Amino acid sequence: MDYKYIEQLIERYLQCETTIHEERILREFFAQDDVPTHLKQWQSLFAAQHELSQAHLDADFNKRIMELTSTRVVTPRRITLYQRMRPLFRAAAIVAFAIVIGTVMNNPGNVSSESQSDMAHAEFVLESTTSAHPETYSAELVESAADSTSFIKVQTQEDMPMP
Amino acid sequence: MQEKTLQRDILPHRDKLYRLALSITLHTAEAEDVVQDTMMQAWNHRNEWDEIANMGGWLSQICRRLALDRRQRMDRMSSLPDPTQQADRHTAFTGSDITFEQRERLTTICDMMESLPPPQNDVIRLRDIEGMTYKDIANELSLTEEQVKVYLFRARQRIKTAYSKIENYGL
Repeated sequence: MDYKYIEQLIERYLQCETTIHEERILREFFAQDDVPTHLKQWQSLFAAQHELSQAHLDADFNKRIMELTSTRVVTPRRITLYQRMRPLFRAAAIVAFAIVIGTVMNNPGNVSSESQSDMAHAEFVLESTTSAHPETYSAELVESAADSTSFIKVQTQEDMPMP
Repeated sequence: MQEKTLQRDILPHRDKLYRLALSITLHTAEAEDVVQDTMMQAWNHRNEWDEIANMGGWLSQICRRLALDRRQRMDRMSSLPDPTQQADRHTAFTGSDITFEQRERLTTICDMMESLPPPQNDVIRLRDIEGMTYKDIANELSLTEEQVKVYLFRARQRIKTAYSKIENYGL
């Protein structure tokens, strides 16, 4: 082996002018035992690089990781109260909507077929009482209708999901 | 699906990560634990894999952080009076077929690489231990090739100074 060549390679290595191939030559040269004394100091560098580059894990490492990951497919994840309740918000919105629709349908203005007999009975009672005291009862009826719709409005806003 | 990605894109980095963990902890068993923890952390973030362009760099960051934590813990343990609790960094590289001389020089080079400021330490490790091209190093560290050359030059100048000192003391 021509040591002049190795000395040149070391010089060029330190100047970052060596190729990957030339650097490999250096490491392999210093990996052998009989290195001339004047180059000994570089042996600890290049031989150590060589030894470290050979370090590797056991073959069964992959198997161990695959086993670990398959047993941990369901990883515990923190769920906030908001995330947990999220499906319920939609249900609550639907219920609130149904209540609004139901109230509108039951309004004395648009009489639905199911409550027609009830309404007829109520109208009969209403008529008999309002005819006795016309001013008092008609005013009360309007007031209560206004109250029930405004109550529903507040209710639906409370049940809306958070933005 | 994710098991396939694990096998194809993540597990092949294992030996590179092991050598990184080894050069920080200087301890084979601890380094192996670090790589295992790195893999498990990567697995726990598997929903983000699609967004990671540079898997090698991402894994190395996790591995370096875990290895540094481990080294700190080892240093704390070695100050304990109970010797059975110790995983001393300087009984390092406890492989069966390693000489005292080999252990000494491995410890020296690892300490030297890790004493360099980032990203010089990563650049010289990827070049001199992993034998990667400037282009691949630039990709892994999100640098330009020119930057890689500059950092490598600085790192090798530091190494030159350090090994000249060894030479002077040695003679």
